[in-house]
Amino acid sequence: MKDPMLTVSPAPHWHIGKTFTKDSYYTIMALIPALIMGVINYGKGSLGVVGLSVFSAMATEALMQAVMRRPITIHDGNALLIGLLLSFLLPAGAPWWLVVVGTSVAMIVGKQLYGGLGSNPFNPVLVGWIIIRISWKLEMDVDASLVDVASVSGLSPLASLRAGVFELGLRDVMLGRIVGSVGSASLLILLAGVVLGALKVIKWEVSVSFLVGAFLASLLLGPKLFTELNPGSISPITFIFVGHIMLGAFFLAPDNPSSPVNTVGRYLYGFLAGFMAIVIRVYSSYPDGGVIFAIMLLNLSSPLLDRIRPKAVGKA
Amino acid sequence: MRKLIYNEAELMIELIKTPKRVTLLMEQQPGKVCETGLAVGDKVKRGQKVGEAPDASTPSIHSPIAGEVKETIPALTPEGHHTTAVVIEGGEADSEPTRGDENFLSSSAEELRSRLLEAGVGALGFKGTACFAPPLSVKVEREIETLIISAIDEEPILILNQQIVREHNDELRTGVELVRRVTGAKKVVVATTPALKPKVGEHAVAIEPVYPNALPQMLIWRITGRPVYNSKEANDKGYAVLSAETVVSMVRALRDGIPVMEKVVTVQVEASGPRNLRVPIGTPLFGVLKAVGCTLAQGDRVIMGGPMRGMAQFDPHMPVTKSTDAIVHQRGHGVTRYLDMACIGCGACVKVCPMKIQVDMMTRYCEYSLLDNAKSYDLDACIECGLCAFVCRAKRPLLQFILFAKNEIQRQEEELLEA
Repeated sequence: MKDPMLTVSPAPHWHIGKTFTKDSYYTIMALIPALIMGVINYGKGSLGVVGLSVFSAMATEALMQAVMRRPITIHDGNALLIGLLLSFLLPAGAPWWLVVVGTSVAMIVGKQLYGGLGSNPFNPVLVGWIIIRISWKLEMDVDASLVDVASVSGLSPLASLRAGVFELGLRDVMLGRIVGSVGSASLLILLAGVVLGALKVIKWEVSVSFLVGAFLASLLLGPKLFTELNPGSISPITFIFVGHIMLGAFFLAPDNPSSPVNTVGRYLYGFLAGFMAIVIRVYSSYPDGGVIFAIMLLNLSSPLLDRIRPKAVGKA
Repeated sequence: MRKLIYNEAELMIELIKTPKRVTLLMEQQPGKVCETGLAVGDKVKRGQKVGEAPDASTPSIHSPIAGEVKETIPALTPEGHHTTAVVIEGGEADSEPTRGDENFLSSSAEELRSRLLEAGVGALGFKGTACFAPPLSVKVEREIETLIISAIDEEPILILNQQIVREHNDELRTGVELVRRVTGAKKVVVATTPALKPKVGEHAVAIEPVYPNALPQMLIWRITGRPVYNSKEANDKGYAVLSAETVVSMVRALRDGIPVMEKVVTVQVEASGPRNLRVPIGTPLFGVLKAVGCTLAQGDRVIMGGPMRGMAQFDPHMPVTKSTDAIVHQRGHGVTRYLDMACIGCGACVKVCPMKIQVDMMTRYCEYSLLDNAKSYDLDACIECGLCAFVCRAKRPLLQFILFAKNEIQRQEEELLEA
């Protein structure tokens, strides 16, 4: 009798069963309620933006991998997630070419040119957003682009804060009933993030410290927005529910390859990113980009933060 | 994270039918090589010495069956070392007379050591225990401060040492005295699970039954409260670890005069619980699996050792050695496959590492043979528990990278010595 061929492989021969691909799909599933809220608030147009963004992210990745003669990995959920997150940052009325340029820049420059998944020093979503935000200021402007599509109109909360006409309630801000991007339902994003954090799908240390940093900064810097000409006040809670703070804390900042690995580094990274987000929001000419520029800066310093590591056990 | 809990069930040790044909490897434990004085055609009795030890730190090898030497062939050990194998085929039931000694404890330590060597007692069990064990047959130069007898099995599904403690309690209690005499250890403790602690008595120390607490380096850390960096440091500080099975086999060798011819093995077959078998050394893998009603199919995986650190074997004829603690069988469709993927930086390995190594960077360096960098990221502190690869979200073969780098470093050091 001939012996059967046996499978040989390195130890360990068990696996916990949690994989990166599963984590990606859990994250996508968690974002669906916020997506539905976005569609309710901004109409069918937002669904078009999201669909196009996801499709073009996956297509660009497949194309790039085919050109580079690498295995095509669009089934791992990462391209889908990048497309989804980028569309959450876009206004519902964004023109189709803007979406396509944004996602292709995210996939090509942000991810594939660095060597694909795991090698990207920056979160690809941020790379895509920053390029199109700086290049097409008008089309990325939520105030202008929402005029035709949404039932809500006027100025976005961040713009109205600067103009001194902010009059939204916390409830509207939390549910995204404001002039904003597709993923404005902060409360739903917060809930999704809490679930993912509890399941340890995302780096929860980053999220927690991000919120702490953002809250502290809001407490300190929020009043600076108001002057004698522009009297008013905003509570720090409302201030961190406005804009992309929640999306940044739970979905953009804890991006695996671009955030630190060690525990101390994670806390520092999150805290600094959250604090910086508010600083940029208050002082810079890109109030809507506070979260994104802050996380980008911290992505850059994440290898440095990772040098803070615990001493190995037993080492002299 | 879901913790890997040690099995604490009670499970009778069963005997299996003596095989007609055994293959005795001349390297029963990694690095301990014997030579055979037998030629093809020689008659062998049960319990007769087959492998002659070249020095006083290597235990000799005995035949578990009576028969005739069929062939002596080059072979591979389960760990992949080249060695010689003596194949014996069964004939009449004929065994060497045993010379037991009830009052062995009154003999001198010197005499006990030479008798243990003759009976082939060495550290039993898979790779872990071997490097932390004192050579039982020679006088230890460095005095042993604390000798730990491990009654917990190294890996989650294994339950042989715990069961040996249950079934051979008297021998273990005598063994503690014996070990103290032979090795001259100042302090002897028995590491057990909380459930087994009352059974062992005064020397017992309970360990939380969570993997990898029973690996030798972890045992030393948990019991003395001081971690050791590697086996060399453990030796320098006077710590040593022996398995409970080794201690029981010492007592049986001296009191009953039975040399080491059998090994207790936990056999885990897919779709049924583990079983403890007392297997004659040299029984081929497929023979052991057949005894529990398992036939091998194309693409199955058979692991010698536990599921976390064992070696997958390619040859179903691979014989059981004195180092085999377990045989694990997995059906082909369910085997874990590793991927050729870059690290995604999720940090799961760093969180799970018991030695607090920054595993993600260290294994990246190992992967590309940047050995100095790997060392600066604490490669030496690794105890090879495999938890990092177990939790890896990208399914990278992290333990393999680490073993590869350690092997490269050793090879380079040997080349330097030769030059």
